[in-house]
Amino acid sequence: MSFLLPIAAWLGLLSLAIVGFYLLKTRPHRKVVSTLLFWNQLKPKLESSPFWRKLRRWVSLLLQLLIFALILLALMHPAFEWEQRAPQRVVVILDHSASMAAIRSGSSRWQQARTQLDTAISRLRLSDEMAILTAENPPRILSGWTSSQRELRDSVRGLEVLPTGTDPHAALELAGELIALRENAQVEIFSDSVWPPDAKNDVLPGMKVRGVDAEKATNVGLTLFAIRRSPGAPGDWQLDVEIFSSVAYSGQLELSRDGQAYDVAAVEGAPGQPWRKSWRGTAEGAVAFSAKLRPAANDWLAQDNQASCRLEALAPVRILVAGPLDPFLSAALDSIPLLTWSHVEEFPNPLPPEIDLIIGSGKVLPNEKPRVAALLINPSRSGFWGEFKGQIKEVPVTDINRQSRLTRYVEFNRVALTEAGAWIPAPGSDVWVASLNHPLIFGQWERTPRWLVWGFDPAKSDLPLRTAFPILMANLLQSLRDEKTSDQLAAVLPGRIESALVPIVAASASESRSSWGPILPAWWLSLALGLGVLALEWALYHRRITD
Amino acid sequence: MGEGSAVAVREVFHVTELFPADFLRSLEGLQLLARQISRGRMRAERRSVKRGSGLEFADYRPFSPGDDIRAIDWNVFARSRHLLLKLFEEEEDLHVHLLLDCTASMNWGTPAKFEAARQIVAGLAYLALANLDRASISPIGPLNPSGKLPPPWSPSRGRAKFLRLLRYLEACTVDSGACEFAPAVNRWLASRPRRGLVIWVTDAWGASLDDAFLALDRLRYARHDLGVVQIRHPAELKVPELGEFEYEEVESGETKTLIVDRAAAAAYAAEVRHYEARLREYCRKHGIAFLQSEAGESAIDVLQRSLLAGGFAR
Repeated sequence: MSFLLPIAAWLGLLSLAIVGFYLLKTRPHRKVVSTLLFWNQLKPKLESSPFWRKLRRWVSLLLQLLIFALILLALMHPAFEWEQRAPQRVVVILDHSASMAAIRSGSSRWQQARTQLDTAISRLRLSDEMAILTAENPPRILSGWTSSQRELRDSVRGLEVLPTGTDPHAALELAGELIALRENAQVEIFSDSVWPPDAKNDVLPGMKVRGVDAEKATNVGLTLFAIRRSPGAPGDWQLDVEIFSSVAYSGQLELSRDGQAYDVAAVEGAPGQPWRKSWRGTAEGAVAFSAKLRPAANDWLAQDNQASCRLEALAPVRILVAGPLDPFLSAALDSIPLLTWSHVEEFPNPLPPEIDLIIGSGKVLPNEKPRVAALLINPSRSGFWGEFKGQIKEVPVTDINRQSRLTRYVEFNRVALTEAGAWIPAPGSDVWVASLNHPLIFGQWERTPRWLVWGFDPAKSDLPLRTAFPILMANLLQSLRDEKTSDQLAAVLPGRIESALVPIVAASASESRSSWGPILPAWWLSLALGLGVLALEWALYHRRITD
Repeated sequence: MGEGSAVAVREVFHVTELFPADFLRSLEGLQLLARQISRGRMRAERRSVKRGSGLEFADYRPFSPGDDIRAIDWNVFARSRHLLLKLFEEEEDLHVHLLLDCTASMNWGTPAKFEAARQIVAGLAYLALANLDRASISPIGPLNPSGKLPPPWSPSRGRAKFLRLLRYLEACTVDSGACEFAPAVNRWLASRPRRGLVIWVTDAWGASLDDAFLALDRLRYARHDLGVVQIRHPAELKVPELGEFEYEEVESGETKTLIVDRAAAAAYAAEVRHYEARLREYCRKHGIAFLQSEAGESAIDVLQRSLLAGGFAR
């Protein structure tokens, strides 16, 4: 601490006046009374008061000198180290990722960070400025450059810890840009730095990490809790669970299905080795799973001990078949579960509501792209789907896109096609199956409006007799279901990096050292102390105890 | 009240500030109230303890030579052959001695107790004069007076003396200096006043806790009927301000430096209450009419209260 106005110390000579007045012993206020009769009775009692009361005048003098000294101290304008710094600009990056919720004893890392930030805000002087960003991607600017402590506090008031991890890369980059525009600016990161490893490179020299909870943390947590339906059998589901820790761990996992206990599994694993398990079952209706992990020890983070996910009910695919009814097609549609279909002779215009797929064939075709998915089987004319160039005979299947979900597991190699249309698909169309550059199955299925052309008549091939036919139909319908239910429904969890609670950057030592100092200006403290002693002196003077 | 007394009162209206016109008018009303009350209680005026030539039979006693034979009850002689003398009560005018405390403590406070005391004495004197009693006023002051105290007002009778009596009271002042009540009362008793009703108007703050009681003892031993009017100032009953003070007693000039806190103030108030309770109990025990009043209280109210309570003023 140093003094900004040391010359005020000369005012200390005034203390001699205080002592002088005391030595002169100013007479007490004189009062004329009608009689001392009763005071004479009380006098012996008053004179036998405690010893300290007799010293009261000297105590009072000492207190008054103390008050004077404290006021003098305030006038000399003492300043702590942080008060003497040049005007500073600070960009604060506040990490509110899931790992900040870790609790070791009492307060969480998030609470510690908020307290440290509050202290930093309290120490802002009028000449200082601060901006606050969140350590996420994209970063949120909670507060722009400001000196207003109230504004800064208001900006972080509603901020809560996220359920997931964050990537600080963009925030660090933005902070770097912000300080480049200001003189004497620096970045302070309020974080446990439990980040992806490559984020370490983004923490530039000069950026100060206000570390929280420097003790080495250990944790066991769920890192995956996801459910999905089987692509082949829509009613089947699979639940996948993964537990991870950077230390050796053990515990118990409790599973619930629709609120009822479903399974309990013992969990044990080596450091860095995930524990995985899957459960399978069948349910066409909605099903909700929840998991509760009970680690035996080493658990700092509660957020990753619970997870839940829900699989929505399967909705039947609604199909309208327009045109002559193919017996193989109708048999295939009847055999596929969770499907309803109907038949009309003419291609409807407009389309009836509440259908998911319309199948046209031959001459029963749409004139424009339908608003729902459309399967056109062996169209006999050109249209929005492509240009018809006539027929080709003896068509071997030479090219199959096996990566596509439409043709996955469909063995076209052995299908014998006696006749097929020669087509030039509409621009932008995909081709799944082709014969010597003649597209056999083509269309636009990965984006809306969806349409697909089978450029051959299944009745003039042995396709309906092959297993490829129902698989092809099942893939087609499953892809429609995928629109309604996503492939995999995963619980929102912090993830491996957050659960491991391993910091990637060491905290800046100098900042943590200064964090415990007083946050109020020294002159203010001195004045407040002086007022406190003044109150004590007042109490002594007016509330003397005599017996 | 007759026409003469009304004229006397009217003359007084212009005499003094201490006794304003409305005060004197109120005294007239007070006298009427006193009459109404006394008419309901007793037929005659105050009676003397002496036996004499009054109209009312009092007792018999055996005849002895030299007695007036006119007083022999011949009917009794005819029946019993004993000579018995009939005794009658002798009616005489009562002497009302008003002792006015003129110590410096009476002049303390605002308004001063002495003003109230003089008004009460004036009221009592008026009632006595209107009752055809003899009223006297004796200042009670320090042993070695500085000469400020006027000589006592000798017993007088009749309302016509009231104007002069008021002027006398107007001229009365307190005398500084320490005063003990007991010797002061002794000095008054040494003047051999006739037995009668003694009313002491005082604050009763003696030189010691027993001083006032000793003075009352002296008066009791002299076989006077006694009454005490104690006048206090509210500021005397409790400490008005806390702090460190040098108290100076107005009579003796004695000083005491005291630190008065809440506890000391409470102890002081308790001492005052205890002293007053002791005084009240003393008066009750010895049949002394006792009346308390405060400096700011109207003298008429005090006297009216006394009349209604059946005290010494009748």
